[in-house]
Amino acid sequence: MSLLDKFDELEQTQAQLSEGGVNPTNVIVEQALSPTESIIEGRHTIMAGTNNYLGLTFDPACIEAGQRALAESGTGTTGSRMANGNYASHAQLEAELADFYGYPYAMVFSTGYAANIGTMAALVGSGDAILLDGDAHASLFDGGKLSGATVYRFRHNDAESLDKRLRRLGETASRCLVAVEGLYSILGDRAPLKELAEVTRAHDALLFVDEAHSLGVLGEHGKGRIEEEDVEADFVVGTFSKSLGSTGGFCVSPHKALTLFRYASRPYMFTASPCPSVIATTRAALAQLRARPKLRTKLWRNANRLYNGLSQLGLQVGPEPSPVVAVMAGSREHALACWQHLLEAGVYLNLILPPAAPDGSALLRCSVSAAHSDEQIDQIIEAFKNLPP
Amino acid sequence: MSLDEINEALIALLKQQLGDDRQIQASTDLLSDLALESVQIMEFIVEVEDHYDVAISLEALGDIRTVEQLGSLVQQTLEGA
Repeated sequence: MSLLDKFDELEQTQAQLSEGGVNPTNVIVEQALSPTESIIEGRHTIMAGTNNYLGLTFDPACIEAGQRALAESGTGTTGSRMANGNYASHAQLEAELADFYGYPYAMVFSTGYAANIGTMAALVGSGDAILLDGDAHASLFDGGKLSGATVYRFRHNDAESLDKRLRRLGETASRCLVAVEGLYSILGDRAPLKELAEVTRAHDALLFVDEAHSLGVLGEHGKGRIEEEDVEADFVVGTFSKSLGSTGGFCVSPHKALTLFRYASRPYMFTASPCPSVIATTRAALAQLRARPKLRTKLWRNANRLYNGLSQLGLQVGPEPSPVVAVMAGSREHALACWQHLLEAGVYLNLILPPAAPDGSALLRCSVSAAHSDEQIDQIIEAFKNLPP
Repeated sequence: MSLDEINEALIALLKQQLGDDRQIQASTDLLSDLALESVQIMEFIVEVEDHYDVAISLEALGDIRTVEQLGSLVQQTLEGA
Protein backbone atom coordinates (compact mmCIF):
# COMPACT_ATOMS: atom_id res chain seq x y z
CA MET A 1 0.00 0.00 0.00
CA SER A 2 1.35 3.38 -0.92
CA LEU A 3 0.08 6.81 0.00
CA LEU A 4 -1.12 7.18 -3.56
CA ASP A 5 -3.27 4.03 -3.68
CA LYS A 6 -6.28 5.73 -2.16
CA PHE A 7 -6.57 7.90 -5.24
CA ASP A 8 -7.50 4.86 -7.38
CA GLU A 9 -11.06 5.05 -6.08
CA LEU A 10 -11.23 8.77 -6.72
CA GLU A 11 -9.97 8.20 -10.25
CA GLN A 12 -12.88 5.81 -10.85
CA THR A 13 -15.33 8.36 -9.45
CA GLN A 14 -13.86 11.02 -11.69
CA ALA A 15 -14.22 8.74 -14.71
CA GLN A 16 -17.87 8.04 -13.83
CA LEU A 17 -18.59 11.75 -13.56
CA SER A 18 -17.10 12.31 -16.99
CA GLU A 19 -19.28 9.66 -18.65
CA GLY A 20 -21.71 11.29 -21.03
CA GLY A 21 -19.88 14.56 -21.45
CA VAL A 22 -18.67 17.31 -19.16
CA ASN A 23 -17.56 16.43 -15.64
CA PRO A 24 -19.76 18.61 -13.37
CA THR A 25 -16.90 19.05 -10.93
CA ASN A 26 -14.58 20.36 -13.62
CA VAL A 27 -16.66 22.74 -15.70
CA ILE A 28 -14.56 25.36 -17.43
CA VAL A 29 -16.17 28.76 -17.75
CA GLU A 30 -14.55 29.90 -20.98
CA GLN A 31 -15.78 33.44 -20.57
CA ALA A 32 -17.96 35.13 -17.98
CA LEU A 33 -20.16 37.58 -19.88
CA SER A 34 -22.33 38.96 -17.08
CA PRO A 35 -23.52 37.89 -13.61
CA THR A 36 -25.94 35.48 -15.30
CA GLU A 37 -24.33 34.44 -18.58
CA SER A 38 -21.12 32.64 -19.51
CA ILE A 39 -19.63 30.72 -22.38
CA ILE A 40 -19.30 27.01 -21.52
CA GLU A 41 -18.41 24.36 -24.11
CA GLY A 42 -18.59 27.14 -26.69
CA ARG A 43 -22.23 27.86 -25.90
CA HIS A 44 -23.98 30.83 -24.31
CA THR A 45 -25.11 29.44 -20.96
CA ILE A 46 -27.43 30.87 -18.32
CA MET A 47 -25.66 30.68 -14.98
CA ALA A 48 -28.18 29.37 -12.46
CA GLY A 49 -25.75 28.01 -9.87
CA THR A 50 -23.34 30.77 -8.89
CA ASN A 51 -24.44 32.08 -5.45
CA ASN A 52 -24.24 35.53 -7.08
CA TYR A 53 -27.41 36.56 -5.27
CA LEU A 54 -27.28 40.30 -5.85
CA GLY A 55 -25.57 40.05 -9.25
CA LEU A 56 -22.83 42.51 -8.26
CA THR A 57 -19.87 40.83 -9.99
CA PHE A 58 -20.12 43.19 -12.97
CA ASP A 59 -21.39 46.22 -11.04
CA PRO A 60 -19.67 49.33 -12.47
CA ALA A 61 -19.02 50.89 -9.06
CA CYS A 62 -17.40 47.67 -7.78
CA ILE A 63 -15.26 47.28 -10.89
CA GLU A 64 -14.11 50.90 -10.72
CA ALA A 65 -13.23 50.55 -7.04
CA GLY A 66 -11.20 47.42 -7.78
CA GLN A 67 -9.38 49.00 -10.71
CA ARG A 68 -8.49 52.06 -8.66
CA ALA A 69 -7.17 49.93 -5.79
CA LEU A 70 -5.08 47.87 -8.22
CA ALA A 71 -3.48 51.03 -9.63
CA GLU A 72 -2.97 52.67 -6.23
CA SER A 73 -2.03 49.72 -4.00
CA GLY A 74 -0.73 46.99 -6.30
CA THR A 75 -1.75 43.44 -7.03
CA GLY A 76 -1.32 41.86 -3.62
CA THR A 77 -0.21 42.38 -0.05
CA THR A 78 2.36 39.56 -0.05
CA GLY A 79 1.90 39.07 3.66
CA SER A 80 -0.27 38.22 6.62
CA ARG A 81 -2.42 40.69 8.53
CA MET A 82 0.02 39.99 11.39
CA ALA A 83 2.93 41.34 9.36
CA ASN A 84 3.13 43.58 6.29
CA GLY A 85 -0.30 42.65 4.93
CA ASN A 86 -2.41 44.79 7.25
CA TYR A 87 -3.62 47.69 5.09
CA ALA A 88 -5.84 50.59 6.05
CA SER A 89 -8.51 49.25 3.69
CA HIS A 90 -8.73 45.98 5.67
CA ALA A 91 -9.42 47.95 8.84
CA GLN A 92 -11.88 50.20 6.99
CA LEU A 93 -13.82 47.19 5.76
CA GLU A 94 -13.90 45.81 9.30
CA ALA A 95 -15.28 49.12 10.58
CA GLU A 96 -17.92 49.12 7.83
CA LEU A 97 -18.98 45.56 8.62
CA ALA A 98 -19.24 46.38 12.33
CA ASP A 99 -21.34 49.43 11.49
CA PHE A 100 -23.57 47.43 9.11
CA TYR A 101 -24.34 44.77 11.70
CA GLY A 102 -24.42 47.14 14.66
CA TYR A 103 -21.88 44.95 16.45
CA PRO A 104 -18.78 46.60 17.92
CA TYR A 105 -16.15 44.17 16.65
CA ALA A 106 -15.33 42.75 13.24
CA MET A 107 -12.54 40.74 11.71
CA VAL A 108 -11.79 40.07 8.03
CA PHE A 109 -10.39 36.74 6.82
CA SER A 110 -8.95 35.75 3.44
CA THR A 111 -11.84 33.38 2.57
CA GLY A 112 -15.23 32.43 3.95
CA TYR A 113 -13.85 28.98 4.73
CA ALA A 114 -11.01 30.57 6.73
CA ALA A 115 -13.53 32.75 8.58
CA ASN A 116 -15.45 29.69 9.74
CA ILE A 117 -12.53 27.51 10.72
CA GLY A 118 -10.54 30.48 12.01
CA THR A 119 -13.29 31.69 14.31
CA MET A 120 -14.10 28.24 15.66
CA ALA A 121 -10.49 27.20 16.16
CA ALA A 122 -9.70 30.41 18.04
CA LEU A 123 -12.76 30.21 20.24
CA VAL A 124 -12.95 26.59 21.36
CA GLY A 125 -10.35 23.99 22.16
CA SER A 126 -9.62 20.78 23.98
CA GLY A 127 -12.10 20.23 26.82
CA ASP A 128 -14.73 22.41 25.11
CA ALA A 129 -17.62 21.22 22.96
CA ILE A 130 -19.19 22.17 19.66
CA LEU A 131 -22.76 21.30 18.73
CA LEU A 132 -23.31 21.45 14.99
CA ASP A 133 -26.56 21.39 13.10
CA GLY A 134 -26.72 18.09 11.20
CA ASP A 135 -26.82 19.86 7.83
CA ALA A 136 -24.03 22.31 8.61
CA HIS A 137 -21.50 23.13 5.90
CA ALA A 138 -18.27 21.12 5.70
CA SER A 139 -16.27 24.15 6.84
CA LEU A 140 -18.01 24.04 10.22
CA PHE A 141 -17.12 20.37 10.65
CA ASP A 142 -13.55 21.20 9.62
CA GLY A 143 -13.47 24.09 12.08
CA GLY A 144 -14.59 21.72 14.80
CA LYS A 145 -11.86 19.27 13.93
CA LEU A 146 -9.18 21.97 13.81
CA SER A 147 -10.29 23.38 17.16
CA GLY A 148 -9.61 20.16 19.10
CA ALA A 149 -13.00 20.44 20.84
CA THR A 150 -15.36 17.47 21.11
CA VAL A 151 -17.89 17.77 18.29
CA TYR A 152 -21.51 16.58 18.43
CA ARG A 153 -24.41 16.95 16.00
CA PHE A 154 -28.04 17.74 16.62
CA ARG A 155 -30.98 17.17 14.30
CA HIS A 156 -31.23 19.73 11.54
CA ASN A 157 -33.19 22.82 12.59
CA ASP A 158 -34.49 21.04 15.70
CA ALA A 159 -34.34 23.14 18.88
CA GLU A 160 -35.55 20.23 21.01
CA SER A 161 -32.74 18.04 19.72
CA LEU A 162 -30.28 20.82 20.54
CA ASP A 163 -31.75 21.19 24.02
CA LYS A 164 -31.40 17.45 24.74
CA ARG A 165 -27.78 17.43 23.66
CA LEU A 166 -26.84 20.52 25.64
CA ARG A 167 -28.46 18.92 28.69
CA ARG A 168 -26.46 15.74 28.15
CA LEU A 169 -23.27 17.79 28.13
CA GLY A 170 -23.88 18.81 31.75
CA GLU A 171 -21.40 21.40 32.98
CA THR A 172 -19.61 21.34 29.62
CA ALA A 173 -22.65 23.07 28.09
CA SER A 174 -21.36 26.42 29.30
CA ARG A 175 -18.19 25.79 27.30
CA CYS A 176 -20.09 24.78 24.19
CA LEU A 177 -20.38 26.62 20.89
CA VAL A 178 -23.60 26.01 19.00
CA ALA A 179 -22.96 26.47 15.29
CA VAL A 180 -25.74 26.84 12.73
CA GLU A 181 -26.37 28.48 9.37
CA GLY A 182 -28.90 31.22 8.72
CA LEU A 183 -29.96 29.83 5.35
CA TYR A 184 -28.89 26.31 4.46
CA SER A 185 -26.92 26.03 1.28
CA ILE A 186 -28.27 22.77 -0.09
CA LEU A 187 -32.05 22.91 0.38
CA GLY A 188 -32.44 26.66 0.91
CA ASP A 189 -34.29 26.28 4.21
CA ARG A 190 -33.93 28.78 7.06
CA ALA A 191 -32.86 28.11 10.65
CA PRO A 192 -35.44 28.61 13.42
CA LEU A 193 -32.91 30.97 14.90
CA LYS A 194 -35.00 32.49 17.66
CA GLU A 195 -35.75 29.06 19.15
CA LEU A 196 -32.18 27.87 18.75
CA ALA A 197 -30.87 31.06 20.38
CA GLU A 198 -33.24 30.67 23.34
CA VAL A 199 -32.11 27.10 23.93
CA THR A 200 -28.46 28.09 23.58
CA ARG A 201 -28.85 30.93 26.10
CA ALA A 202 -30.74 28.68 28.53
CA HIS A 203 -27.65 26.46 28.76
CA ASP A 204 -25.17 29.39 28.87
CA ALA A 205 -23.62 28.25 25.61
CA LEU A 206 -22.58 30.61 22.80
CA LEU A 207 -24.24 30.91 19.40
CA PHE A 208 -22.34 31.03 16.11
CA VAL A 209 -24.33 31.77 12.96
CA ASP A 210 -22.91 31.31 9.48
CA GLU A 211 -24.74 33.78 7.23
CA ALA A 212 -22.84 32.84 4.05
CA HIS A 213 -26.03 32.36 2.03
CA SER A 214 -28.20 34.87 3.88
CA LEU A 215 -26.11 38.06 3.83
CA GLY A 216 -27.83 40.35 1.34
CA VAL A 217 -30.68 37.84 1.05
CA LEU A 218 -32.63 37.88 4.33
CA GLY A 219 -33.68 40.66 6.69
CA GLU A 220 -34.97 44.16 6.10
CA HIS A 221 -31.45 45.51 5.54
CA GLY A 222 -29.94 42.30 4.20
CA LYS A 223 -28.04 41.41 7.36
CA GLY A 224 -29.28 37.86 7.22
CA ARG A 225 -31.30 35.50 9.34
CA ILE A 226 -30.24 37.21 12.59
CA GLU A 227 -31.97 40.36 11.41
CA GLU A 228 -35.03 38.53 10.14
CA GLU A 229 -35.44 36.73 13.47
CA ASP A 230 -34.19 39.66 15.58
CA VAL A 231 -31.55 37.53 17.27
CA GLU A 232 -28.20 38.67 18.60
CA ALA A 233 -25.67 35.95 17.97
CA ASP A 234 -22.34 35.77 19.74
CA PHE A 235 -20.49 35.33 16.47
CA VAL A 236 -21.83 36.04 13.00
CA VAL A 237 -19.68 34.75 10.19
CA GLY A 238 -20.08 35.34 6.48
CA THR A 239 -18.41 35.36 3.13
CA PHE A 240 -17.72 37.97 0.51
CA SER A 241 -17.94 35.40 -2.27
CA LYS A 242 -21.69 35.26 -2.65
CA SER A 243 -23.83 38.40 -2.36
CA LEU A 244 -20.75 40.64 -2.35
CA GLY A 245 -19.28 39.07 -5.49
CA SER A 246 -15.61 38.88 -4.43
CA THR A 247 -13.64 36.60 -2.11
CA GLY A 248 -12.95 36.67 1.61
CA GLY A 249 -14.84 36.25 4.83
CA PHE A 250 -15.59 37.96 8.11
CA CYS A 251 -16.74 37.56 11.68
CA VAL A 252 -18.61 40.19 13.70
CA SER A 253 -19.35 39.92 17.39
CA PRO A 254 -20.54 41.83 20.43
CA HIS A 255 -17.64 40.26 22.37
CA LYS A 256 -14.41 42.20 22.71
CA ALA A 257 -12.54 38.88 22.73
CA LEU A 258 -12.90 38.87 18.93
CA THR A 259 -10.15 41.51 18.78
CA LEU A 260 -7.81 38.95 20.35
CA PHE A 261 -8.66 36.21 17.86
CA ARG A 262 -5.95 37.84 15.75
CA TYR A 263 -3.45 36.18 18.07
CA ALA A 264 -5.28 32.88 18.39
CA SER A 265 -6.64 32.08 14.95
CA ARG A 266 -4.12 30.23 12.82
CA PRO A 267 -6.20 30.48 9.62
CA TYR A 268 -6.07 34.26 10.12
CA MET A 269 -2.40 34.45 11.06
CA PHE A 270 -0.73 32.07 8.67
CA THR A 271 -2.03 33.18 5.31
CA ALA A 272 -1.73 36.25 3.12
CA SER A 273 -4.33 38.96 3.62
CA PRO A 274 -6.87 39.71 0.88
CA CYS A 275 -5.60 41.77 -2.08
CA PRO A 276 -6.37 45.52 -1.95
CA SER A 277 -8.51 45.25 -5.09
CA VAL A 278 -10.59 42.47 -3.52
CA ILE A 279 -11.12 44.56 -0.39
CA ALA A 280 -12.06 47.56 -2.54
CA THR A 281 -14.67 45.64 -4.56
CA THR A 282 -16.03 44.14 -1.35
CA ARG A 283 -16.42 47.56 0.26
CA ALA A 284 -18.12 48.89 -2.86
CA ALA A 285 -20.43 45.86 -2.95
CA LEU A 286 -21.33 46.27 0.72
CA ALA A 287 -22.20 49.89 -0.01
CA GLN A 288 -24.37 48.73 -2.93
CA LEU A 289 -26.08 46.15 -0.74
CA ARG A 290 -26.91 48.87 1.80
CA ALA A 291 -27.97 51.50 -0.73
CA ARG A 292 -30.06 49.34 -3.07
CA PRO A 293 -32.67 47.30 -1.18
CA LYS A 294 -34.47 46.83 -4.50
CA LEU A 295 -31.80 44.28 -5.41
CA ARG A 296 -33.18 42.09 -2.64
CA THR A 297 -36.75 42.68 -3.79
CA LYS A 298 -35.79 41.60 -7.31
CA LEU A 299 -33.88 38.58 -5.98
CA TRP A 300 -36.94 37.32 -4.11
CA ARG A 301 -39.24 37.97 -7.06
CA ASN A 302 -36.92 35.83 -9.20
CA ALA A 303 -36.62 33.18 -6.48
CA ASN A 304 -40.39 32.84 -6.20
CA ARG A 305 -40.77 32.75 -9.99
CA LEU A 306 -38.29 29.90 -10.31
CA TYR A 307 -39.50 27.97 -7.25
CA ASN A 308 -43.14 28.18 -8.35
CA GLY A 309 -42.31 27.39 -11.97
CA LEU A 310 -40.37 24.25 -11.06
CA SER A 311 -43.05 23.19 -8.55
CA GLN A 312 -45.71 23.52 -11.24
CA LEU A 313 -43.73 21.13 -13.43
CA GLY A 314 -44.31 18.53 -10.73
CA LEU A 315 -40.69 18.48 -9.62
CA GLN A 316 -39.87 17.86 -5.98
CA VAL A 317 -38.26 21.09 -4.81
CA GLY A 318 -36.83 22.28 -1.49
CA PRO A 319 -39.08 22.90 1.54
CA GLU A 320 -39.65 26.62 1.03
CA PRO A 321 -39.17 29.33 -1.64
CA SER A 322 -35.64 30.67 -1.43
CA PRO A 323 -32.87 31.97 -3.69
CA VAL A 324 -31.43 28.46 -3.26
CA VAL A 325 -33.80 26.18 -5.17
CA ALA A 326 -33.08 22.48 -4.83
CA VAL A 327 -34.64 19.91 -7.15
CA MET A 328 -34.53 16.31 -5.92
CA ALA A 329 -33.05 14.08 -8.59
CA GLY A 330 -32.98 10.54 -7.18
CA SER A 331 -29.95 8.40 -7.94
CA ARG A 332 -26.49 9.72 -8.72
CA GLU A 333 -26.77 8.40 -12.27
CA HIS A 334 -30.12 10.06 -12.90
CA ALA A 335 -28.97 13.33 -11.39
CA LEU A 336 -25.85 13.31 -13.54
CA ALA A 337 -27.89 12.64 -16.70
CA CYS A 338 -30.25 15.51 -15.81
CA TRP A 339 -27.33 17.82 -15.14
CA GLN A 340 -25.78 16.97 -18.53
CA HIS A 341 -29.12 17.53 -20.22
CA LEU A 342 -29.52 20.96 -18.61
CA LEU A 343 -26.00 22.03 -19.56
CA GLU A 344 -26.61 21.02 -23.15
CA ALA A 345 -29.85 23.02 -23.00
CA GLY A 346 -27.80 26.07 -21.97
CA VAL A 347 -28.35 26.09 -18.23
CA TYR A 348 -25.56 25.67 -15.68
CA LEU A 349 -26.45 24.72 -12.13
CA ASN A 350 -24.87 22.67 -9.34
CA LEU A 351 -24.98 18.90 -9.08
CA ILE A 352 -25.04 17.88 -5.42
CA LEU A 353 -24.17 14.27 -4.71
CA PRO A 354 -24.18 12.38 -1.41
CA PRO A 355 -22.77 12.93 1.17
CA ALA A 356 -23.29 16.64 0.44
CA ALA A 357 -27.03 16.12 -0.05
CA PRO A 358 -28.83 15.82 3.30
CA ASP A 359 -31.02 12.74 2.77
CA GLY A 360 -28.53 10.63 0.89
CA SER A 361 -30.07 11.24 -2.53
CA ALA A 362 -28.70 13.46 -5.28
CA LEU A 363 -30.11 16.83 -6.20
CA LEU A 364 -29.80 19.68 -8.65
CA ARG A 365 -29.27 23.05 -6.99
CA CYS A 366 -30.14 26.34 -8.59
CA SER A 367 -29.19 29.67 -7.10
CA VAL A 368 -31.09 32.71 -8.25
CA SER A 369 -29.66 36.17 -8.85
CA ALA A 370 -31.25 39.61 -8.74
CA ALA A 371 -29.58 40.03 -12.13
CA HIS A 372 -31.61 37.25 -13.79
CA SER A 373 -34.25 38.53 -16.18
CA ASP A 374 -37.75 37.09 -16.27
CA GLU A 375 -36.86 35.56 -19.64
CA GLN A 376 -33.82 33.81 -18.17
CA ILE A 377 -35.84 32.40 -15.28
CA ASP A 378 -38.41 31.12 -17.78
CA GLN A 379 -35.66 29.57 -19.91
CA ILE A 380 -34.35 27.74 -16.85
CA ILE A 381 -37.85 26.39 -16.13
CA GLU A 382 -38.27 25.42 -19.79
CA ALA A 383 -35.01 23.46 -19.71
CA PHE A 384 -36.34 21.40 -16.79
CA LYS A 385 -39.41 20.33 -18.79
CA ASN A 386 -37.67 17.58 -20.72
CA LEU A 387 -35.41 15.96 -18.16
CA PRO A 388 -34.36 12.35 -18.88
CA PRO A 389 -36.75 9.79 -17.34
CA MET B 1 -27.08 -3.47 29.98
CA SER B 2 -25.43 -6.33 28.09
CA LEU B 3 -23.75 -5.83 24.75
CA ASP B 4 -26.15 -8.33 23.16
CA GLU B 5 -29.14 -6.33 24.34
CA ILE B 6 -27.65 -3.12 22.97
CA ASN B 7 -26.82 -4.76 19.65
CA GLU B 8 -30.38 -6.05 19.33
CA ALA B 9 -31.77 -2.59 20.01
CA LEU B 10 -29.37 -1.04 17.49
CA ILE B 11 -30.45 -3.55 14.84
CA ALA B 12 -34.11 -2.73 15.50
CA LEU B 13 -33.41 0.99 15.18
CA LEU B 14 -31.46 0.46 12.01
CA LYS B 15 -34.21 -1.67 10.44
CA GLN B 16 -36.72 1.01 11.33
CA GLN B 17 -34.59 3.67 9.64
CA LEU B 18 -33.92 1.61 6.52
CA GLY B 19 -37.53 0.56 6.18
CA ASP B 20 -36.70 -2.62 4.27
CA ASP B 21 -36.08 -6.28 5.05
CA ARG B 22 -32.32 -6.41 4.71
CA GLN B 23 -30.67 -8.92 7.05
CA ILE B 24 -28.71 -7.15 9.75
CA GLN B 25 -26.55 -8.82 12.37
CA ALA B 26 -24.14 -7.58 15.00
CA SER B 27 -21.28 -8.11 12.58
CA THR B 28 -22.94 -6.19 9.75
CA ASP B 29 -20.71 -3.46 8.36
CA LEU B 30 -22.68 -0.23 7.96
CA LEU B 31 -20.59 0.86 5.01
CA SER B 32 -19.68 -2.21 3.01
CA ASP B 33 -22.68 -4.47 3.82
CA LEU B 34 -25.46 -1.90 3.95
CA ALA B 35 -23.82 0.68 1.66
CA LEU B 36 -25.04 3.49 3.89
CA GLU B 37 -24.00 7.01 2.96
CA SER B 38 -22.24 8.93 5.71
CA VAL B 39 -25.30 11.17 6.13
CA GLN B 40 -27.47 8.10 6.74
CA ILE B 41 -25.02 6.85 9.34
CA MET B 42 -25.10 10.22 11.07
CA GLU B 43 -28.91 10.13 11.13
CA PHE B 44 -28.71 6.69 12.67
CA ILE B 45 -26.30 7.92 15.36
CA VAL B 46 -28.69 10.73 16.28
CA GLU B 47 -31.45 8.11 16.71
CA VAL B 48 -29.17 6.00 18.89
CA GLU B 49 -28.24 9.01 21.03
CA ASP B 50 -31.89 9.81 21.65
CA HIS B 51 -32.79 6.18 22.33
CA TYR B 52 -30.17 5.87 25.06
CA ASP B 53 -30.06 9.54 26.08
CA VAL B 54 -26.31 9.70 25.53
CA ALA B 55 -23.98 12.00 23.62
CA ILE B 56 -21.70 10.38 21.06
CA SER B 57 -19.04 12.67 19.63
CA LEU B 58 -17.88 12.52 16.02
CA GLU B 59 -14.40 11.78 17.32
CA ALA B 60 -15.63 8.75 19.31
CA LEU B 61 -17.26 7.35 16.18
CA GLY B 62 -13.80 7.29 14.62
CA ASP B 63 -13.29 4.03 12.80
CA ILE B 64 -16.53 2.34 13.85
CA ARG B 65 -17.84 0.18 11.01
CA THR B 66 -20.06 -2.53 12.46
CA VAL B 67 -23.18 -2.67 14.60
CA GLU B 68 -21.31 -4.41 17.42
CA GLN B 69 -18.52 -1.83 17.41
CA LEU B 70 -21.16 0.85 17.83
CA GLY B 71 -22.80 -1.29 20.50
CA SER B 72 -19.55 -1.38 22.45
CA LEU B 73 -19.24 2.39 22.20
CA VAL B 74 -22.80 2.86 23.45
CA GLN B 75 -22.13 0.47 26.33
CA GLN B 76 -18.96 2.35 27.31
CA THR B 77 -20.80 5.65 27.09
CA LEU B 78 -23.64 4.37 29.26
CA GLU B 79 -21.19 3.05 31.84
CA GLY B 80 -19.36 6.38 31.88
CA ALA B 81 -22.54 8.43 32.15
